[in-house]
Amino acid sequence: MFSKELEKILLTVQKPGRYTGGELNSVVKNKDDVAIRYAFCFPDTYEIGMSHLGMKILYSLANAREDTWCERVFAPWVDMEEKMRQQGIPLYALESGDAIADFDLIGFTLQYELSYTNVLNMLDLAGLPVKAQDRTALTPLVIGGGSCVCNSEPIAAFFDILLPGEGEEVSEDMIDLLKEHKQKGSSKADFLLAASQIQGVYVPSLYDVSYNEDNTVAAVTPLQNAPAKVAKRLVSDLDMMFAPDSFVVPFLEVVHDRVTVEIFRGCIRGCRFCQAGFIYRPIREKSPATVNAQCQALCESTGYDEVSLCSLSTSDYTGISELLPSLLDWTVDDKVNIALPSLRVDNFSDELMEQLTKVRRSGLTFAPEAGTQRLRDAINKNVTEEEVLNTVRKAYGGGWMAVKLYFMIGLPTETFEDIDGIADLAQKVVDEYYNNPDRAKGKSVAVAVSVASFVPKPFTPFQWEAQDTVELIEEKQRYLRDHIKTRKINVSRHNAQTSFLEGVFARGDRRLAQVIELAWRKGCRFDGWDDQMRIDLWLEAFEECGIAPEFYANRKRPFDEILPWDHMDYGVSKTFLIGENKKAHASDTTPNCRENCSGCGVTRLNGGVCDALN
Amino acid sequence: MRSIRVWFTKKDTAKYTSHLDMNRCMLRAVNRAGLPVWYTEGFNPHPYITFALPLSLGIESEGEPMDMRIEGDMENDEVKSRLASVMPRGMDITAVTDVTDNAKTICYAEYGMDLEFNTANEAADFCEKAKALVQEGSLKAEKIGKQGRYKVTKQVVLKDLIVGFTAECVQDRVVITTVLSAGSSANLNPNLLLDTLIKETGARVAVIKITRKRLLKADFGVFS
Repeated sequence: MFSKELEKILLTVQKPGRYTGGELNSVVKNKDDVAIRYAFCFPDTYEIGMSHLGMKILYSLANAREDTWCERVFAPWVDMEEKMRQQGIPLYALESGDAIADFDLIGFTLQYELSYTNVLNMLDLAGLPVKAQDRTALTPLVIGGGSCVCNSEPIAAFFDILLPGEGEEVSEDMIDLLKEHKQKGSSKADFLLAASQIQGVYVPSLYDVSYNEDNTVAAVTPLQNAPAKVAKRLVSDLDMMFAPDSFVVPFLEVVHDRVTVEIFRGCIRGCRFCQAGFIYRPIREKSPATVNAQCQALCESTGYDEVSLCSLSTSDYTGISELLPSLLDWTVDDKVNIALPSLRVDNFSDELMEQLTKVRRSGLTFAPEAGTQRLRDAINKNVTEEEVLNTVRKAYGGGWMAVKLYFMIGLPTETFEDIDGIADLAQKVVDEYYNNPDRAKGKSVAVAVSVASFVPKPFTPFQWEAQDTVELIEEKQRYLRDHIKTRKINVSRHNAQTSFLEGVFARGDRRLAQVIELAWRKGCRFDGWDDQMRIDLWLEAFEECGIAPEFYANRKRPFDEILPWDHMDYGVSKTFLIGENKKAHASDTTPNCRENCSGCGVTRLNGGVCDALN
Repeated sequence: MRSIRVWFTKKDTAKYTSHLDMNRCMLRAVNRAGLPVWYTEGFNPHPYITFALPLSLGIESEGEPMDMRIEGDMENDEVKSRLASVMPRGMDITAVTDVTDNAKTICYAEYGMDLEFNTANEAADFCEKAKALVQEGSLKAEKIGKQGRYKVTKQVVLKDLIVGFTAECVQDRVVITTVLSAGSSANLNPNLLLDTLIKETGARVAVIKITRKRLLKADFGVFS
């Protein structure tokens, strides 16, 4: 199935298994039997992309259709890219080995801003022009989805269509519409006009953006009847929603190498820094019976020995006490481990902990996010120090000796006192271990403190805030390191420059497209990888384009400024976000959605329904 | 509890699966097949699976042995049909047998090499030169080995490790069958032999396909 040229280079690159396909449950069809060939592209390595649940769902969903063959494509690592370019091998899809330039639909999932140069690189490797306006034929149509679409302006020029919100229903709509127009022989322009009338479809070329002299956005004008506001798509009933009954099982070890099943979408917590907590609203729960059945079916079809329940905050799932016993009914006998990521410290029960250790003990991670109560209140991360310490006490009692704590620095209103608070809290977590009379004698505790740099994101109450400069972040990182007094605490931090770039693109506008293209032409790719990131080339690109990146990252915006993403509608109202921002500056908390609905406005997109209201 | 030996092929893209990945792949296959496999009893219970002679990345095989322990009285045929229905493409179950020979008795392995050249002349040239070089017996290669904690480069005299070697030129292809030392005491990777031959002859090979045909014992009886 693969060409001789490809066979020849496969044994000369690292991990050839990334490029060969053939995995269990990968879908092979006869290309002559399908109307639409769909290349689902993840703009990062195989190991990262194969861990992504969204891709697994949409891959199965598209392949469940008889008229469509969906195949997977990942970004070749730099060694493979070099060989492919040398040998003139175009980017191909893993299932068929066929060049994706001949496909009908090329879909990218945009999960993080630092994958943007990989998108351009993959289009170029496929032999396609990177800019949408230079691809004049109807197919291949280049579409994008994923969380970055909530502000896709910096990369809008490279896409024909972007799909804000959830992909399950709109993918079907796109395939149906493309099939129809391909059969009719429509022009690309006619197709895009028709597509723009579907809810959850954003056709960037149908919007004209003008700017003020101070570089802020003056207006976004829809053309040819395109909607003034593009509302995201969402699936109302998760029990009825398409769910895959098998996953492709990779040969290589990938990052998340297990069965993953979603238990609910949305989050009741409203942490003000968290984009996912706002853009995935409203709360929609899957029933425990559905979750249990899906877990069991997937374990049987894949042979995985670990199941991970996926959501933004697992312990907020109302069905957890019903679900766990039904899972344990079969997982213990089948030696299947249950992983519960994203647990909160305020509702982590003894019972939950006991159940988790029935097969194998996995790691324990908590996210206090900020070091002081004042700052935790400002960001609305409603946990107290007492709750954190109570939980680690239980964990130590349960036999854990390694705890991971997640924090952020650079949060709005943060002072150096708050950084002291991170060091103090980590120390108290260590002390708690030695205060425990039942601890295993002669053994030491290891507390891993992971400190991310805060990046303000669209559709959060902090979307107007200035991001800390690289210099200030690095100063705070040094300050923290100097205030850690024991080797039992290990601090890891994020590259401040990477966070800076992420911040620029998260809240950028369309003028950044030229910077992205130039940086990519200079050789930037895999910008999220510390060993590949070339900040020097990026800064050169900004300079040559005459664009100051600080304008996007480090500038505080007034509430009345038109933001580049204001024509996208994710349901949550601006009035609500402004209110939350003001409360943050007053260190005033907002109760979670189950305690008290705070009227974010999202139910408007879901017929008034939100499971937090029940 | 009893031990069984599962024989499987490794063909086409499956050959790009490394030994470490094979282990994980087989554990999952065992789970999917619902075999009553015996689990270790430590903190991390897992099925106990061993491969008699791991296969290098990029080499195909017509029959690799993998040993595991099962509980209860499931017949070998039942194990075979269950496993066969859940294997990835390129890995077919050819047999499930009782364990006759200890893995330590493996002494040699027979390989087939199928080399494709750009022209028939190049193929014929390589074929003659390769046969002469092996016959002459002075072939040496460098092998990276370990001495305690350190990596050292060792000179290996290949003739001691090549037990059989035939080469035949068919148009633009050369088909080699060779028996090489294999196992824990003396082992020659077919890639090392081929790389040395290519280097010494200065040949340019377009496509290389190496297949392990079977494993042999000291008396050249087939390992089973």
